Amino acid sequence: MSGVLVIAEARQGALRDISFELITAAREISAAGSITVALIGSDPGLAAQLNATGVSEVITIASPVDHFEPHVSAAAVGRLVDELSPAVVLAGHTIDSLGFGAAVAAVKDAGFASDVTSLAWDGALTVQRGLYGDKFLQTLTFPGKETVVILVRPGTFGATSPGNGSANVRPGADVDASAVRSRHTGYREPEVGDVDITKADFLLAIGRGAGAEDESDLEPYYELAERIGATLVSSRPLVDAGLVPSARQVGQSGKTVAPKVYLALGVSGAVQHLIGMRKADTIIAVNTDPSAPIFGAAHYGSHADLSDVADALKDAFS
Amino acid sequence: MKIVVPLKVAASPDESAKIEGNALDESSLEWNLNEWDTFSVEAALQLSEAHGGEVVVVSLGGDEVEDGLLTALAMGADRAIQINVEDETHKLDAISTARVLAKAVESESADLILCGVMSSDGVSAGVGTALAALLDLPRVAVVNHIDYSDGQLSVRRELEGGLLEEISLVTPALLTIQTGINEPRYANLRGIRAASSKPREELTIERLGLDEDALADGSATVQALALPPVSEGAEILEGDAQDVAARIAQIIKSKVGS
Ligand SMILES: Cc1cc2nc3c(=O)[nH]c(=O)nc-3n(C[C@H](O)[C@H](O)[C@H](O)COP(=O)(O)OP(=O)(O)OC[C@H]3O[C@@H](n4cnc5c(N)ncnc54)[C@H](O)[C@@H]3O)c2cc1C
Repeated sequence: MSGVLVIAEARQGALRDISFELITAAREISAAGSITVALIGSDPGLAAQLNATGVSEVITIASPVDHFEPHVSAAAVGRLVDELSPAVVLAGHTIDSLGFGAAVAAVKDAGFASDVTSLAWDGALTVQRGLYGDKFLQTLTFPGKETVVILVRPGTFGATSPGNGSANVRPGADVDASAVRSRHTGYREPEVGDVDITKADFLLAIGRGAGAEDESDLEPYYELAERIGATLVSSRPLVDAGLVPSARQVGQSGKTVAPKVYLALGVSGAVQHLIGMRKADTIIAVNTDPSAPIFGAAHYGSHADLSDVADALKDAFS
Repeated sequence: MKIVVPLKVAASPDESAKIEGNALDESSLEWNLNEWDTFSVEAALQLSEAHGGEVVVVSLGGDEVEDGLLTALAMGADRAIQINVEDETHKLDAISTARVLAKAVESESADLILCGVMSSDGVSAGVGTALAALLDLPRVAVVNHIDYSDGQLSVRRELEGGLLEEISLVTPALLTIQTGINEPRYANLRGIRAASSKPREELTIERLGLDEDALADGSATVQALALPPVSEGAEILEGDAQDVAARIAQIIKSKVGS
């Protein structure tokens, strides 16, 4: 068992960044053997981009459908595991891979770890991942497993530049139409809201810690935002509860923002939130839990109660 | 239609949480029905209310599991299966959990299995997809809308950036459910009273014909549990709320200008 098999990810005709982050991750464990990148789809342009530094082989696998289909991916990856016996399979901890990664691991009796943030190879694989909302870090090994399927957290590794490689690019065996078990019928773009939060210089973010139970509980925060010249945004739970419009959600399934200042009140800093705001120039976090992971991303922090800080801030701007 | 909902009672450590060996000291853990699973239970109840049928909830774990199953029964589920992990030191990972669930639910021949996308403590997001593969069911992961009629499912998969994909498939199938798909109900007093008299079956992993020790070895071995390395992190603003607000106001004014 040797080598690293990277599963590239494409959507709507373009490769997603995670594909090139995975190539970087694979290069970090190059002692495990040569790097093969698999593209499910046969677009030669995408295959050429995946021919990046460090990659030995790019295998394109013709799919019977034009869109991601989890059972096709599982079949394709499963067959590549049989064919190549890789020591490690790397895919993204992304919505697509959540549809097939664990399936391959279960069927092949492989090792498995998801949302992985570091990898090392020393004759065998060791990985780390966060637990309990990233408050703790777990180290895992995979004794006795011939192949290990790893889903890597997006944004953890820098992207290897596309192209410039010297890989052998070849087609693999097609996946048969019988593998298809669901049908793509269309995409729906996210709702466009009354504000474009990606354009604002200053965002006031409210999290579950604000304890809002109905829309009226949010009025003070809209008022505060207006007073201090910020645009109000939120973490996901407030959007799920229907209290804040989805166009104001920051994070993996919301918007990615990079304002000059991001002031977060009562946001814990789950990775799916951080991924959407960590590029802000200055992040200020107010959270009563000193171990909240948001403090790892913030430049300034306070452990004070957010409602006290909100009141005092209103006064400071009057 | 018969809907099976596997659910997890998830741990959240309190501030005193201490690491003991490769795990957290049990006394610092608070147990609650996993946030994602409140949405999958609600989705199952809504479907069975609209189309008739039975909702069976199933969970695997230690003593904490019973309360989670009772909560789901109080919300309106019809029947519960509780699978006891006998050795307290055994913490089954996502793939092993799926193997146990597969054995426990295959004889149910469910039309639909609804799992949560992930659990708030283990965050593997692997159980549902592994379970579907082991039962050879078609699946969609990260679903935030379901339409059902006559064995046909039209669902929406929630992608990065809030893009939605519309997908159709036929039952039997497995979906993993994302938060926000509905508004999970609270159990009312009548529901809570009714829950204790609803059918509950207790099983062990051994009784399902599986080897608990082998499953505990699972798909990975935990070498260590530690606090994350302290990053440079934030400069903590000291003083009372007034002091903190004054500093924040200063930072805002200097960075955003006017
Ligand atoms: C596929 C997927 C996609 C997701 N996409 C997104 C996304 O786009 N955006 C997003 O935000 N999340 C997303 N999530 C959810 C994410 O995992 C978290 O559940 C969510 O970000 C938590 O929101 P929160 O920080 O507001 O709430 P919590 O995690 O509950 O944190 C609340 C915080 O408030 C603090 N607090 C409580 N009271 C006070 C007080 N009085 N004063 C100060 N602090 C207080 C607490 O200490 C706590 O840290 C996604 C999850 C999945 C699985």
